[in-house]
Amino acid sequence: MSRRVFLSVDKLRVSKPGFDAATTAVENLIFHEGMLPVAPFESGSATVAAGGSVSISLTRGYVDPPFIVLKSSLNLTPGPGHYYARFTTGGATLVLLNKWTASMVISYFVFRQFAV
Amino acid sequence: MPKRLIIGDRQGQSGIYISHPGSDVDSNDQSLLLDSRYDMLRIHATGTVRMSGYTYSGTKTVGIYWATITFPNLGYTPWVWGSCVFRNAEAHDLPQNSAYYPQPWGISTRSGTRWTDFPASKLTYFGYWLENNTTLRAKLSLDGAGGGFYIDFQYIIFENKR
Repeated sequence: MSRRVFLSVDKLRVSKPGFDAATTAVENLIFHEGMLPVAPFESGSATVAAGGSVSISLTRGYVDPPFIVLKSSLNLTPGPGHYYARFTTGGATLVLLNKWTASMVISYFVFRQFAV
Repeated sequence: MPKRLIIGDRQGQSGIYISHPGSDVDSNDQSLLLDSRYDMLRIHATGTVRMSGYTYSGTKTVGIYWATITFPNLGYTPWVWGSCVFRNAEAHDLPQNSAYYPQPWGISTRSGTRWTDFPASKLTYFGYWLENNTTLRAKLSLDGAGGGFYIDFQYIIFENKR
């Protein structure tokens, strides 16, 4: 069995199954001491009627539109004809739009921004 | 106070596990803050750049925009995500300071159908692609003249291998 966790004075590394955490390349690590994780900042959900929209006021400040992932209770993929979201800076408003023929719950996950 | 950290064996699988505040790391009732059984998205590079643009007048007049991002080589092809933000008040009918999720789309999305439900009906194309392991490119086109608009391309290059 390979080492999955490697801990030293300046390193904390966790590998994928089958890879040695102390020696494997970065693409085989799940966690390492220098990583920038994609951290969820805020999330929520709203019931949106067929053809309707719901406006959400996000609570955190965003200089630019952040990375956002959407999910539907109907298990449809987001995009034209199904559902999508529009983010506007300033008021940090997220509008969820349902273009499908049935009501659905749209969940949104907003991720923290990083300057690298 | 519940136990929140395990480094080693948890339910027969070795790894590192951290629970959310107030939740026991041995419990299966909630997702974990860190669960080494699963991979995580990790950022390699991210940023926002102003897209260059010009008006192309041939058989049809279109505004063409593009951006090129160079990033450090990971030695493999990473995952990427991109979108764009329309900065003008009147970039045709593109809403100002707005971004769309999962991404903007236009007339060419499906069978040439113009999506009347999308406010940016002048947007004919938006896409981004990896030219190689160090170069990300983005392109956008608008119906009609429009080389002078301000459109920003946002990107995240993940450390995760595609």
